[in-house]
Amino acid sequence: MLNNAKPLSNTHLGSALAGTSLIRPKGNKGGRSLTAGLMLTSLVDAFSILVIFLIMNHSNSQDVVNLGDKIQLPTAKDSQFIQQGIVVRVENDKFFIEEKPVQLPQLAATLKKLNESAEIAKKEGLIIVADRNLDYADLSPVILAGSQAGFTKYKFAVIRKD
Amino acid sequence: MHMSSGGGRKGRKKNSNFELNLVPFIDVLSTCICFLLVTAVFINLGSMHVSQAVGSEKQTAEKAKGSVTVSLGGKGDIRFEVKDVPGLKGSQGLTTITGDDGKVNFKRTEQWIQTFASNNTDVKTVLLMPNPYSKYDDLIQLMAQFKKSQMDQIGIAPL
Repeated sequence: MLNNAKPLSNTHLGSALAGTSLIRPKGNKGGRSLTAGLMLTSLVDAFSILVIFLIMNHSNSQDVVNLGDKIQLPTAKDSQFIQQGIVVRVENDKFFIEEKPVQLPQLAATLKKLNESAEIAKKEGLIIVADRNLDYADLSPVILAGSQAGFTKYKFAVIRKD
Repeated sequence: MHMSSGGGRKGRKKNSNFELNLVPFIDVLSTCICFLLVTAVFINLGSMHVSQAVGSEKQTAEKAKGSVTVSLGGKGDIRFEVKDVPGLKGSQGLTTITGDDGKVNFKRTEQWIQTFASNNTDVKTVLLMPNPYSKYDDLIQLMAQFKKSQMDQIGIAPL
């Protein structure tokens, strides 16, 4: 019953792997085989390279910054690769520090606390994520609070243009 | 596809070769590729670095080389004020580029920045002074133009 269900048993074509087998090759049973030889080794190589490339690309920069739903970043040439830092997101007149919403009066105090407790890599600076059409009046409190908290480097998140 | 375990004895009849079934391996790799392609985000993120001078030491060290203060006015007007650059005094150090339909004329600003940077290669310091209605995108474009001309010590003044 199950043997009849095998689709290859009803055709002239045999299994590609069975045909290339060195132990008991089934490909050349009395006459010419209709099996199409498939070199699976090169396919596996190509797949492996693709997987490695995608994994490397995957963990590049996306884990550093989470863009909000409605944020359109400005595009810029001559920008640097984004590195680690404390992420401050400005979205709809609200401020998010490391994904936690913070009120404007608490901005400087929260940043100061983070600057004191953060790892060395994160003390590198503030990563500011904001919409390209944002007025500077809405962005200025972040810079002011950052200065009060002792940050000297600001990294404005952009989309790199080559 | 076959793999040899190696070191087989001569007298033995049984072949110790074994076969490796590649099909499940290919299945796993295909699944991995599909997952990574679906979850991949193809946005190339970068950042514009700005350094804010907090103390007074940095200012005195850079004063000798000069600086450019960029004031963004209303209607896209931009005023470049060159400070402490030898050979440029008074009104010579002031340039105003009027806006184009209320937007910043980036072609003219780029021309000015490139000309200034090529004539004053020592000047690296830029201070941006936006107005409350300056767009974030305009600031980034100006920063990019300065960086392109090797003027990479950019600061931004809070309101």
